[in-house]
Amino acid sequence: MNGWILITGILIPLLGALLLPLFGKLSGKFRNIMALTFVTTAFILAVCALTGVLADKPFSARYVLPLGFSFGFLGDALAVFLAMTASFVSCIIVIYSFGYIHEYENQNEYYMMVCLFVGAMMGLVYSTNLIAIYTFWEISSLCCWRLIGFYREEITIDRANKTFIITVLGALIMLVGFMGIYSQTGTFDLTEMKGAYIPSWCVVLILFGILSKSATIPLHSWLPDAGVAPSPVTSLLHAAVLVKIGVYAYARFFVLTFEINEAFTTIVPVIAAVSALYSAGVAFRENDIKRVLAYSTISQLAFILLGLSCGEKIGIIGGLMYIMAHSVAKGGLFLCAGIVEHNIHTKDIRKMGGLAKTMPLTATAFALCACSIMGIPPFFGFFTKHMVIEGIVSSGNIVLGVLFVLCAVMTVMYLIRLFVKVFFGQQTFSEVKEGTPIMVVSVLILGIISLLLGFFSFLPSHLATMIWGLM
Amino acid sequence: MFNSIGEFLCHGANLIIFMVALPAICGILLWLFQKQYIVKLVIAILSSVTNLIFALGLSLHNEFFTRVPYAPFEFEFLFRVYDLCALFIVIAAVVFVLITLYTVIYSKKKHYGGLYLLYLYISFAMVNGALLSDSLGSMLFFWEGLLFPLFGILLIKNNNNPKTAVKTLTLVGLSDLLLMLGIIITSHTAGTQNLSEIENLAISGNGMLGFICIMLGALGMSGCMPFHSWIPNASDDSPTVFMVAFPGALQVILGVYLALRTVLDIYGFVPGSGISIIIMALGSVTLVFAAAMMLIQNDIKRLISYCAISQLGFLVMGIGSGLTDGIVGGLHSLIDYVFYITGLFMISGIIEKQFGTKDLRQLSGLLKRIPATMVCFIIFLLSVVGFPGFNGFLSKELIFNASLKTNVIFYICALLGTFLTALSFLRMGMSLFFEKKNAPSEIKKESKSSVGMLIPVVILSSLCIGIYSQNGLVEYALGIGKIAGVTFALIVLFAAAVLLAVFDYIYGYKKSGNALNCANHIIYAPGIKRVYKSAEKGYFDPYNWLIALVGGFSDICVRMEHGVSWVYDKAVPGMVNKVGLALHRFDNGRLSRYLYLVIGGLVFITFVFIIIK
Repeated sequence: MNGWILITGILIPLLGALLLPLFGKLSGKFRNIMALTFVTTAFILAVCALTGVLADKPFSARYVLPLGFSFGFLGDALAVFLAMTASFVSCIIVIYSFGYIHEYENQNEYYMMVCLFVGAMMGLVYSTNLIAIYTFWEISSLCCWRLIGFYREEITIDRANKTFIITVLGALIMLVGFMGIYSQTGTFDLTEMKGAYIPSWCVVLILFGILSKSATIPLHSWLPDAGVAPSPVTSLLHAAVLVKIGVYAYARFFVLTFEINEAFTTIVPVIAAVSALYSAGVAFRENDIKRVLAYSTISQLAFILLGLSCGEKIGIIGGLMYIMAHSVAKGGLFLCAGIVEHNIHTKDIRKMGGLAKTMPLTATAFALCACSIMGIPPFFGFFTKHMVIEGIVSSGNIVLGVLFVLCAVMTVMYLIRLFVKVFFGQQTFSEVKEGTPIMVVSVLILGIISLLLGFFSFLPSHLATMIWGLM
Repeated sequence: MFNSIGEFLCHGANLIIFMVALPAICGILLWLFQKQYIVKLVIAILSSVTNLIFALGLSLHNEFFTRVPYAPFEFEFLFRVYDLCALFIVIAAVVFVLITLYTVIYSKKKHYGGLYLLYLYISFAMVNGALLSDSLGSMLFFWEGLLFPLFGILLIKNNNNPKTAVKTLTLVGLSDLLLMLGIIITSHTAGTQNLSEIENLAISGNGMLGFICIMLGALGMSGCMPFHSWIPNASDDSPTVFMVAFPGALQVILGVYLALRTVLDIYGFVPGSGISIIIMALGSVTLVFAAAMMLIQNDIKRLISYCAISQLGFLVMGIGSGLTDGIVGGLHSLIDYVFYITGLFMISGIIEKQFGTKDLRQLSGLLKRIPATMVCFIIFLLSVVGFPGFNGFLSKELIFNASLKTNVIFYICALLGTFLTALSFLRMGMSLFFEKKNAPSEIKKESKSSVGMLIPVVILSSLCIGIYSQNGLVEYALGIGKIAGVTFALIVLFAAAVLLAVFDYIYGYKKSGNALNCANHIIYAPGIKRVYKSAEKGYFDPYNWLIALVGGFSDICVRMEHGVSWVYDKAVPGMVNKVGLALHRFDNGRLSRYLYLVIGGLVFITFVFIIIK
């Protein structure tokens, strides 16, 4: 019942994406509007699916296929939470793209891939079948490959290939893990496997896929390199959607569905701690604005992974809320970096300075988003960071708690360094102006939402608590 | 009237609306009306006085709790008003009235006035929220909420040189995050976040870590070592009104409040215990180091900022002793601190505004120019030193008492601190007001605005003339009986330290012929000279250590990252290439090779089947 909402939410961006090149032949504006319409529809339908979650009757659809196979879609709290977050930030990114991409070639392909990507994300979060999840996972990798190689320069193609190879390889290893699960349970349907214990080797194989997608050390190398892509792409991939697929899969598989060996509640947080500290260390020394943000993403994803893997209710809820906080704020930061790069044609922060005078709105949006990532109250990031660290301390791992506090300190240090180097100090580009109104409004929206979510943090918290209720 | 106000505030969300939201809203109004001086002045006075009335209403009302329901999972916004908190709320409100008045007048024609007031009011809202919080989580929320306005204010005049803002945010942010860890560990150990439900936790194991982190967070907010070094930098780069409000009052009020709560309520703090000795040692080092640094300062604001740090050392020694004398002395000392440090910063602002410089080398003979300011300065000086009849006397003597009871070394440090402070103030005061040297070429008469700025200074100086300390207010707030007086012998020793400072000043003055150089015989003494040079170069600045540490760690990470990138970009593709080339060479079209492959394959499959069987 009402499962059509979920399927429509997947199909509209997926199939609509295929039509966009045709629309592009007719008119660029029409294509842009249709791209926004498809992504916005996904968001609206995710909000519609929220009504089912709030009424405790999640929307679902199930299609039985021959030979015992079946495909199912479920709009439970976790799926809707992720779908709403990803599609909303994607909407903002598409709007921003109108100002950013308009001067480049391959726009038809760009909008097609973005829509396809959002459709794949919707499919991934709503699917209850492991094979369907894998399929959407790979569609997202394909889109990612084309989007990173958008500029068609040799280096961008190399980096796109690198991303594709690492994430696809990770996914293939994960697929072997899925096969292992199938051999144990005789089904690919997650709803039928709830509470099933899966062997540790399957967990390890699936973790390969998850860690490669969520760019966790040592499978992180593609993420900073993918910064050669256009900024809306990096925002979409590095902040809002792609990297969240990994942590979503962790939550779906290992928090909500399977029983796994207790040792993973120590192993995964330790991996997360190493990843967080290491990437924060690199971010502190990087001079490329997008690479700093990319390493920051790796570090913050480790916080999310920590929350989800600590095994404590407050940590898991904090980790889930962190996904939203990070998507919005980091999305904004990448888009701000895009405005800066777009206007001064460099990504080297050593060549920047004093841009707050000429780009005050971008600087304000950057500050708002950075405050959320740093975890300064009343921004949303404060609550999520606090809850995640509380989760790990409650689980008895005080040493990890201390390590993550150190990471939080380093987060403050590298983000402030970045902010100050770009927007304060001696003015290096005096004739630079703000980005186009549509770009500036986009980043301001994300900055203001980062702040407002702090004041209304009880709303996402309520939804995250419902996700906990699914356990 | 106050009772009915208290009654009104304790209902529903009124407390949070009127004590937290209202100051923030008034800040926005002040920002919006930044160009209308009179409107700004009226809003500032009305809002700060209203806040004071609310604070008095709360202080006279019986203890009560209130909860704001809108909070995320397990994060309670719970507030409680009781004796100690009410005292701090009133202190903050009194100082806020004076700071606001001073700030509006000081920033009359300054372009940043509106923005500064916005940040100040938001900060004050945060301070109110933190003091009223009964939940550790909500206290942390308001506490850390100070970071944003703090950073914003320090950027106001320093767009081109934001180093101090970065340093401040890093050090205060570090202490805040330590506080977060401490709060999390403490709530985990106690099983609750509610302060009123936590009592006498053991300072051992996790509790020890929790206690240390909370104390570091509290002392870091106040500007105690090792989180102090941003304060002198801020005195160089920030408007005087910032120094008046933040290191001078709000941050110390907040930090000391939490330190007191931690020692008195949350943890079972044992006087004379190892942790007590460590805290007192931290206080002593802060006291002596900062007082010693005062001797070489030629900038009024810098000198006062070191004085603030040094006086904080006294406070920390008192609280860290855990003894009744020390705690009462510490709390008295806080009130004194807020009055005289705020007052001294205000005086530095008056001098800077009026004479266009704050460099002691360019200022002298101001006695006739600003006699009223000089009288206030002398009152503050006597209070800082702890002269009988002034506020500082009782608090200092109580802390001396507690120091001696704990360990004689702390007592000697306290005496040394007093000696250095007295000498530094003699140096500054004599040079500023009584000495005749190269006066600034165009000394103006005291302007009208300076008279307006003098009002809060006069009020603060009158509050320093030992009135409140006699009425047992502090003892009442702490819930203890009136404490015994201090011994005569200690007073004599204290007087000796002050007299020694006077004699040393006279000796130094005669030797150098100049008030500013009166301490040269100490500064350039063998051994000490090198220490001072190292201090001036920033070798003792913990911020530099932190940056070096993080930088070193980052360098290691970057090198490792190069290795990882090499593996992905060179090693793996190279290996794949080589394997491909080898296979390519192998695939040369000869039948024999394929035959070997087939046979090898068959043998392998057979082998596998045998194993499976």
